[in-house]
Amino acid sequence: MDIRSQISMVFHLDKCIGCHTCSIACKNIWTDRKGAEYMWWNNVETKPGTGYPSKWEDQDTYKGGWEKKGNSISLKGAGKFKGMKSLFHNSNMPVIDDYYEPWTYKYENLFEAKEGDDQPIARPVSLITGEYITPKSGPNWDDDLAGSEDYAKNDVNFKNLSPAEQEAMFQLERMTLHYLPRMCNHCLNPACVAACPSGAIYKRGEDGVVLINQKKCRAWRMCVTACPYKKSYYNWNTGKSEKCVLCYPRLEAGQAPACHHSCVGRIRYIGVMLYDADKIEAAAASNDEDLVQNQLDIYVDPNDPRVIAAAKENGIHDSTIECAQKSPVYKFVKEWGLALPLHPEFRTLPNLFYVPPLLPTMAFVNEEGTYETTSENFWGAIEKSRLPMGYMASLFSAGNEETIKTVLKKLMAVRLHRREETVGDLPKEEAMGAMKDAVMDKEMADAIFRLTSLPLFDQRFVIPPAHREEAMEMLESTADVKGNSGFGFKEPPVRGL
Amino acid sequence: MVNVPILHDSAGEVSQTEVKDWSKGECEPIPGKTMHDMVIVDRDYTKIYDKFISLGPNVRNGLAAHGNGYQCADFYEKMLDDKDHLQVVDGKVYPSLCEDEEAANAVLYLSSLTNGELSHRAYQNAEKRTGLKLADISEGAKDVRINYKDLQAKIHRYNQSPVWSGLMNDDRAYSAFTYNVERLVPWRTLTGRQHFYLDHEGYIKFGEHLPTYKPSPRPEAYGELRKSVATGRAKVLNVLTPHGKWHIHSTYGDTLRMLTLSRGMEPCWLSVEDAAELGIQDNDWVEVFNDNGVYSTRACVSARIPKGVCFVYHAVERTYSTPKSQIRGGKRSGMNNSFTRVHLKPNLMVGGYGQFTYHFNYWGPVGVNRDTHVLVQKMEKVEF
Amino acid sequence: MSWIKDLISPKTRKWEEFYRNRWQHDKVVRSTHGVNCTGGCSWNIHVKDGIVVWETQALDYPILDKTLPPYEPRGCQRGISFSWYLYSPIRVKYPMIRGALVDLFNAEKAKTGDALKAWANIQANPEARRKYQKARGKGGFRRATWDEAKEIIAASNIYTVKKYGSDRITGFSPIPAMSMLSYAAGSRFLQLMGGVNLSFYDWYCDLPNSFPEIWGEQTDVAESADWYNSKFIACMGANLGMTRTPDVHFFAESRHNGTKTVVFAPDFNMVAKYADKWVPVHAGQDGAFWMAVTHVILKEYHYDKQTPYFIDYTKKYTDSPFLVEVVEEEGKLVPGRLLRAGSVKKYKDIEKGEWKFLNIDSKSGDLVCPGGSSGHRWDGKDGNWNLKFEDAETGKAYDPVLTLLENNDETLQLEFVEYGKNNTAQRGVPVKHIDTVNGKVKVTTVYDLIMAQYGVDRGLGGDYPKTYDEKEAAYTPAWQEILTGIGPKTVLQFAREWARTAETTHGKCSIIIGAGINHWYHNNLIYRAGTMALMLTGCIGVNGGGMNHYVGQEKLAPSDSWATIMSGKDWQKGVRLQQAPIWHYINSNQWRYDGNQADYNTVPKNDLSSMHSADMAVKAVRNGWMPFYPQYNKRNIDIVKDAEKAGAKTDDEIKDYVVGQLKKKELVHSVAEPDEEVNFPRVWYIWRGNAIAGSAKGHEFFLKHYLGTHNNSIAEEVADQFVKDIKVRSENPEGKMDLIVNLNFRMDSSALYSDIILPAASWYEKTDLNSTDMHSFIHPLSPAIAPVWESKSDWVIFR
Repeated sequence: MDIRSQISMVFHLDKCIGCHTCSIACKNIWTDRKGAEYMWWNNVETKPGTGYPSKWEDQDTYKGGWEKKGNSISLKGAGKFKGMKSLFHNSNMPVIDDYYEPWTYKYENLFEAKEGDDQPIARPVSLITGEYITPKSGPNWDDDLAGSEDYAKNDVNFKNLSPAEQEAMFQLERMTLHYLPRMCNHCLNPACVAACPSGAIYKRGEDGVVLINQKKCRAWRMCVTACPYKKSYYNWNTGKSEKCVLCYPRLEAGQAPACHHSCVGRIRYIGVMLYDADKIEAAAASNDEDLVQNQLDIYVDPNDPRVIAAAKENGIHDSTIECAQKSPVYKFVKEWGLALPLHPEFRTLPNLFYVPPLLPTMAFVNEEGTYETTSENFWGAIEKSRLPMGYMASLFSAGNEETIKTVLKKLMAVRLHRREETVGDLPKEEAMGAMKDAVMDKEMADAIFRLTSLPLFDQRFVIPPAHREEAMEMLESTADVKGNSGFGFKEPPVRGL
Repeated sequence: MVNVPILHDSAGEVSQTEVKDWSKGECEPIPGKTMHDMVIVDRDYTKIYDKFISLGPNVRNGLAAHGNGYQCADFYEKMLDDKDHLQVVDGKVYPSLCEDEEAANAVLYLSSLTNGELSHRAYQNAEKRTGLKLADISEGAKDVRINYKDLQAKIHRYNQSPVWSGLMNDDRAYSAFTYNVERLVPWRTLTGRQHFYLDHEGYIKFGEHLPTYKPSPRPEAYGELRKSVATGRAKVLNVLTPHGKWHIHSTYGDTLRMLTLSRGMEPCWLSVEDAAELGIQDNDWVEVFNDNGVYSTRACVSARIPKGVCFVYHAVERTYSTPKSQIRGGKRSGMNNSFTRVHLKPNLMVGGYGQFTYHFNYWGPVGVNRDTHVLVQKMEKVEF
Repeated sequence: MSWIKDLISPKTRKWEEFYRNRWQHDKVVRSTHGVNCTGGCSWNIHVKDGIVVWETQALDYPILDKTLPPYEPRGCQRGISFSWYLYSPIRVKYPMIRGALVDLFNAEKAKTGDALKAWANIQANPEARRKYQKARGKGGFRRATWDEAKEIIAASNIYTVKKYGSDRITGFSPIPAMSMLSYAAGSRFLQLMGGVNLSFYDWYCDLPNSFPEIWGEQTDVAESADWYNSKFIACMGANLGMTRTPDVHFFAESRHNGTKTVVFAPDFNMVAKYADKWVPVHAGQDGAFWMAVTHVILKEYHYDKQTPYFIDYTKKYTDSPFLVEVVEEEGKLVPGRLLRAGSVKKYKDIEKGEWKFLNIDSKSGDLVCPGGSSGHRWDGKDGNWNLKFEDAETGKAYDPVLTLLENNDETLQLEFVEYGKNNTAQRGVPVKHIDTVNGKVKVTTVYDLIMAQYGVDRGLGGDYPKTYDEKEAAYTPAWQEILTGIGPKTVLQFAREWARTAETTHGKCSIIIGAGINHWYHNNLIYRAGTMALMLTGCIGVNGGGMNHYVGQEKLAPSDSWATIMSGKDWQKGVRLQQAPIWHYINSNQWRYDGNQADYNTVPKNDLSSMHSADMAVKAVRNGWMPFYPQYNKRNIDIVKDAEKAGAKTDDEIKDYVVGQLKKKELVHSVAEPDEEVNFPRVWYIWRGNAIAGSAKGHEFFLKHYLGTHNNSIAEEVADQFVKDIKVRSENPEGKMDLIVNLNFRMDSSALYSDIILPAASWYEKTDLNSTDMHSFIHPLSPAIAPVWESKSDWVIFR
């Protein structure tokens, strides 16, 4: 047993608004500068849709993540060893058209235009060339099913649906959408780390945050290819790759990452997970159908005395263990089995888990040609949800539909239980039956309800103390740091930093 | 002389039982009764600045909103004790409103929402008017005084007050009319009850005395497509202009953030069916127009839009990305309000009768726009 | 997994300072956004090196009832983008004046040496006036000093007051609640000067007319936390994810607490994602769906089952037990006016008897006069304005008869019109005979009329539908199908689940509604249709219930004190607050392009309903129903002087003189002759809003008739064939406005078309207050930094 601690996350997709506040919170603080314009460390996608960069999920094209070879795994695309040959030409990298050409507007014209015979206008200009352009793609071009014929219909997750099923998704009776906020997964088995020829990428011991050392990075961009989530970006100004840092400067101050802080849908949870690093290799090499379960098995019970002892052995701070015991992520992922990893088949063992959304029930068109939405029971069965199980399974369970069904049944059982508690107008056996079916008792249903509906900020975000004083002490007296902190010159990042 | 219409929450509510027009000789013109009132005012234009920066003496007579008033002369006097925040006009002292923060504090100090004693007085007044027991509602809040710096330091919930109709005791969420239902305080209507039936003569004549259904005006009668005719390349659609995702009205819509996360401008959303019929592909340039004007933009073709309608999200700016219109002679095209025109619904103009009595932003016809129809067609040439 | 660089060593991780340095700031200041979004979110503004760098949401909202989710965090993608504006290239940094105007002004001023004369000369010269008007919106701005800008503005004000009167000076600024001091600044300035404030809530079509109609209330709705108390939410015309971004979590969270959610929207929108059922009702047809829902509720829960909670509520809190006269019109029996207490012998001598109304007591069968009516509010006697079941005139307790079904003198067949498919029906209504001072009248109750209107067959004979399947009979589930595109089974399931929830929870069903409905021509009817279902199931005035309309941030919580400061009433009475839709309809000449409303509005034929809307506006102004400024075709000061010359000494004598002049048509209301030059609005202040574009219904007509610049309208004038009272001049005037002044922090469309732009402090640079419907807090706007460049707060600018 090699117990380590990891800061992990849960996104409750049923609550996601698709507002993108998280993306801007991040951009304001981290990527609002030259070379980083197109970086969206955090972005939100409409599903069905092709996402950002376009069709990032299609590893036939991008060759990200790991592939299973017998009982072990290897990087699918360019890596430290495999990729040496392609160091100077990496054909699997997304190009600017897969992202977009960042632009601004010639706003000045509105102030400076001489009096003429027509109204002046601020036209879009490229942030790269400075020339007038007509933007033809952006980081969120297919928002809310915009251009659905070109984007939603090419969603990579449709590949396992029949053409009829795909077509039905765009009929009134079945049409739906949901949002998928994405950021770096700070994986347990990060492909970016493995791929970096410079050894610039590492996973921090204390919290599992994956970082690209801005001094060591040599711009090979193997991480860009290797990350199957396309969450590593190349900064064309500084010549370094950058990615989400999970706001470690905020974490170290006990604050939630900016994207989490700003989540106005209150969908996000953060907490410590203790895991057994010895299990990583085997889990990553599981068969597809076992991937989710085997990943979940890596995370261990923070209340188990053996785990606690092993954690202490590894130097994990008491305060971190306490946080792990209070972790909302542990509850959603392990205790309740409600949250699932995104595309577990990429085998990076991501640390961001999603509770799949409940969506409106399917409708039908009656003999008169009009639309009817009725259901046998109050909310409609989960099998009647508008998004096909196969689609959700493609996102969250490497194709295992039972896994998705189990989660949705639990969510529905909580609702039935709460209806019973607060209204009591449905047949009693309905709530009881649903809970039994979901293997859940009232206490669990209420606990799920409370953490879903009522949590306060501090309950959603349980952040372990960083004990920075201990880290500093290894270099110099912490008291000296206190006195010196902040002195020095502030210079912008430049190439070859 | 300032003309003043007959006002809601005043005795003007009981002035006209029937619609009689003095200008047609149907009745005598009686100011404040069968016609508007007139107020004669002395206005010294050399004193406007002085008055602006000082809180005038009429506050001593009490304040009111929504027909609920209270006395506050003592609080006005207390403001005069604050020697650092006074103005002198013609030798008399007044509380100062010179600085923004002084104005903010005057609002907060004298409002029943942020001064618990005034809330209490307002409930006491309401008790007198209604003959009901009400002042217990504000009993616990009498000592509350919230000033501007308090608001900066911490978020404050305001007091309940009879100015508003929700009860908020015991951290209860505000829900409208709980005051009326639980405390038996009438609504400010003709019968004091919630009205199913609107017996105003104008309502009867316009067929809206009972709750009913009326169809949307037909586009041919609405008159916005008299000269703009579908040529085969264009199609009549009902244009909806809901509030959008990337702006609050026009604000934020011009920021680089929102433009980057959207399509760089406010497009016209079309259904897949209508777009196909018009030969329009996602992202093509289109013109959206009727007799009133034109908006040139790009198409956003989506399965989530139903046939027969198009969306241009509300409050476009014409300052960026807008090309010249091709169908209207090559001048800069406008924005979503280029294809709207005001249509007033006449029965909403009646007055002097119970709840149908004017108050600013309370009563009168509204600037409807949802019934607008436009033609949409592909734009062949794009010029800036 | 040896390649995982499990780094602890701070030395090799020294570079991590790179990002740590970014997360540093010197201070954090609380502010919010003064934008009409209804969010009202508290924000922390981070300042580093004297520059605003970013904003994050505040978290310190007081917790309401512990069974409710908290408000934190509040703020959306738009709000968190605001700091971009502060230093962006679209920021207005200095006063700017239109070049064509400033050249004319400087030339005239050089000639005359006097700013006022210079302004007068420009206005007296039609060519000069046209020159700068035509340049509006076409570039050519010049940077100016504050003094230069203020001089021109002051000259235009004084000129206008002297020549035409102060009621030709107008200001527009929307929704004060979002930054109430900024609003009050301009408004106080205008009102002290005798200028005019244009309304906004009605102009924006955010005012739900049904609220005044039903409740006598502008708008009063639940704070968003109360959505969570609801156990059945119907959301229509409101895209919560899009527009109620900081609040929608309550909606999502309620689902997990056992609430059912049904979303009505023609498109699959952001909020439809949270729906248990999405009902894609045809755009604008929601009213038809609700009419049918109410039909089912009335039939099954009021008539068949007589659900006690619903019946008790309806009796106590609605006008249903009130008596309505049945009258004959063109040979048909129809509902008429409410029976007035003063018209029956028992009450004929009471004060304000024509404003008090009658019920029948179920025990004695006698007429009773319930307290609480407007007559009781304004009869000069305190203590009777309440909803007790007590006869306010006799003090006796009573229990009202809701329906005359069991106790009537006869059943009459009344005519009811259904406008959707244009059907009329004769339906039996129970009637009682009442002796009045004007003879015998026949009455029924509002409740009985409602039963008949909705087509609930109670065995009274006539054209009642026998089943839910009758497509032509109003208002069955089958009737609505063709209008809404929604099948009848959906109506039935919806209505029954709604009523069952309301019955079990005593009223915890709610409607969340927004601009998607309120912007239709017949918005008041659609709202009333939905509200009927709420009222009949006891869902108004209940936590978790309510008609929750959110269109515009109209709730200015401390309105009592603010209203006085805003209007200058602390100094003077008599304020000029203008109903903007009428003002723009008339002044921007849009009425001239409008056909007769009777041709597109579905109305019965009669004298009133056949009027053109412009004539109706004239009538409304003359009769004191609606305000209109400019007031008269003469300067107000001159009218008073004339009155005094004619011997008037007191205010009342002046008024008598004016009335006389009006009767003789010596004096004419400006509204009746809007195209006479003397009646033009002249100076327009625009602040906190986008009055020329974003909120300008009929934008192109604004460009043409207010601004006198280029436009893309080809609309035909048609009103002259319909109007009788309003004067149509053969010439259609363009360019009515002398000067447009815009206070702005950004170059928006209105700024671009204005004559003078004054740089306004942004929301992180000034002191102000903010409140909203969505929650029960008041937030400050604060100067995290001083106003940048040469900008100033609105308060300071107007001061």
